Amino acid sequence: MTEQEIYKMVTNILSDFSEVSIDNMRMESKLMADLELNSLDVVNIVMAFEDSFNLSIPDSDLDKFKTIADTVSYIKNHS
Amino acid sequence: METKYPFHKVKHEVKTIQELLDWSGYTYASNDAYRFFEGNTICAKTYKELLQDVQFAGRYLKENFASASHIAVIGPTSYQWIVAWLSIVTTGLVAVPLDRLLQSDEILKLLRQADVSTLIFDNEQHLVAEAVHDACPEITCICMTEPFYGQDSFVAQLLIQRKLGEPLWSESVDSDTIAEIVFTSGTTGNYKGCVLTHKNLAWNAMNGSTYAALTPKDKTMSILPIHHTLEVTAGMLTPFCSGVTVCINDSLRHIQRNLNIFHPECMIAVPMVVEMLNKNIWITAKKTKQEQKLQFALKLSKCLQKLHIHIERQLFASVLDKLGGNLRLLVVGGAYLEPKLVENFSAMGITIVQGYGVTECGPVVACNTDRKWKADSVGQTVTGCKIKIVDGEIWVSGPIVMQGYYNDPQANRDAFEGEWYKTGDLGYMDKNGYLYLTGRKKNLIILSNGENVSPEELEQKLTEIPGICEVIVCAEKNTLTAEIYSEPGADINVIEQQIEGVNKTLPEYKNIRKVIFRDTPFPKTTTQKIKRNYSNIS
Repeated sequence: MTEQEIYKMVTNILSDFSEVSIDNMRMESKLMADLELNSLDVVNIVMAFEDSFNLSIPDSDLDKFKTIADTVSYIKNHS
Repeated sequence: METKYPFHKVKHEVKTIQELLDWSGYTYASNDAYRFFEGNTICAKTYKELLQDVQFAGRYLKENFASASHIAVIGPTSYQWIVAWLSIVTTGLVAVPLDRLLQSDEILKLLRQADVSTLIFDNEQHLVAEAVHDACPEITCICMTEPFYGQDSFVAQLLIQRKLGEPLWSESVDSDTIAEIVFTSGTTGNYKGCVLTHKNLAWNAMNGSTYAALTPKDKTMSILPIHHTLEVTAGMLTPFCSGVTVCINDSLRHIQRNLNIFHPECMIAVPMVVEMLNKNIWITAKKTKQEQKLQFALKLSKCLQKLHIHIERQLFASVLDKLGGNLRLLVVGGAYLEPKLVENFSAMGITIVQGYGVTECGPVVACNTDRKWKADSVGQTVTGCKIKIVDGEIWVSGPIVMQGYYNDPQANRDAFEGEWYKTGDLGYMDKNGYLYLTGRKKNLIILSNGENVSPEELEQKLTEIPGICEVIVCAEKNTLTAEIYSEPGADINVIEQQIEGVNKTLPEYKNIRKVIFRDTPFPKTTTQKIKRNYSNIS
């Protein structure tokens, strides 16, 4: 998958949990500060990534998902 | 004012945790007390087995540790943690539950502050135990499941004791005996150790069984961190009063899965969990294009409820099935909960019993009941306690109030006025005795996961960063945010990187998630203190 395709899927998933619209999301958007997500949301979002990208993400990697850019590059490197 | 209200009856009165465990061990002997995962298998322990395990472990502790020793316990929620805590407390020793998310240096500080002689730890906290072993050789470290520097594991000691024959309590515990010292965040960032007695906790456990009707056929699922007082009393001890089975959720990631494995009727939760469940319900509705149907069903159910017609479980069968199918009660405390969520969940057939508490009162001070509740109130004063409002502040007296802060006479002078404990929370009571919260007297941030954060502690750490002149930390929409006035010409990117560095030294819930830079210094009081309400953070 290209970075652009991953970005599109990631922002789609994020929009389910965040009140920020996809149009207002940017690569540098921070999940907690800018998208107003809490730590439980991040847990759920990571599980949604696992399903959508057929990945297995260990608990120890949860703190690597700080921005959309982090997320996209993590998924790109692990899928 | 003292109040009478539609609480359920206490099944059996107890004065100590020992009496409670003893009574439940005989009354509900064959009922499962705990269900939990061991690998991929679900194990169960009956009330009789739990009582015996606690007595075996208690005999080992009694024989090996001086009376009134302070024993710290650290780890995720597990059957071993629970047996360790109960055996310490029922043997007349003092338990010191610790937050497993704290860094080693903070744990060391707390162990010293509470005069801990022994640390029982989960293997997950192996590195912390190594640090304690190196820095405090006088503290005995016992791993729950593995040997550690020549010490047999806690589980191994249980097996040895089992071979030595049936245990009995060697002596009974007095209700004024100290059961535990629990740390709570002070407003300056220093932790204070709340000394809670058997009486404090036994009252809390019994009161807990009066908020809602639960029977030995019911199950709860434990999801909150076990060191929290709400989880210890409402999550662990209250179920003993009704023979309820507690199912241990093994990870936050597995809540949804485990709801469908354990099928609990009840959960003890913080607002963040309720918000998450609500979000998941709406995400599923959106994906299945059922949003409008769900909205209509909510309106319909609310109307029917006014007519005392209850078809919630049929109307919302698919929603409830996703939550395990049996969930009908959420006991929620620890932070502000939106009344709309209370109303919507009720319309779906899940009653939210919202309460208010502070660690210093073990913790529940006021609570709604499943018979009668108000969505925007935290309920009425719990049985046997009194609340009065002094200059807007909530004061509490009664058998739930702690003995005091451990070794902290100044904090005790500040917190008590005779028998009254001053909570620092602001609120008022309506004419029916329902309590409403309006804010905090002291600067303490309460996050939706129930964690308390001292802004001053974080501000002090941030002002040590070169380039930061003034800083205020607030919670903006539940996100810890720092508003900074930096030195003219200071590199903002460097400051942000340094804040990331500070975050790494703190538990995750204390991390600064958002930084706002301001152009001018903060307005000050005459004593040159920053006026907090002049911050730009909403």
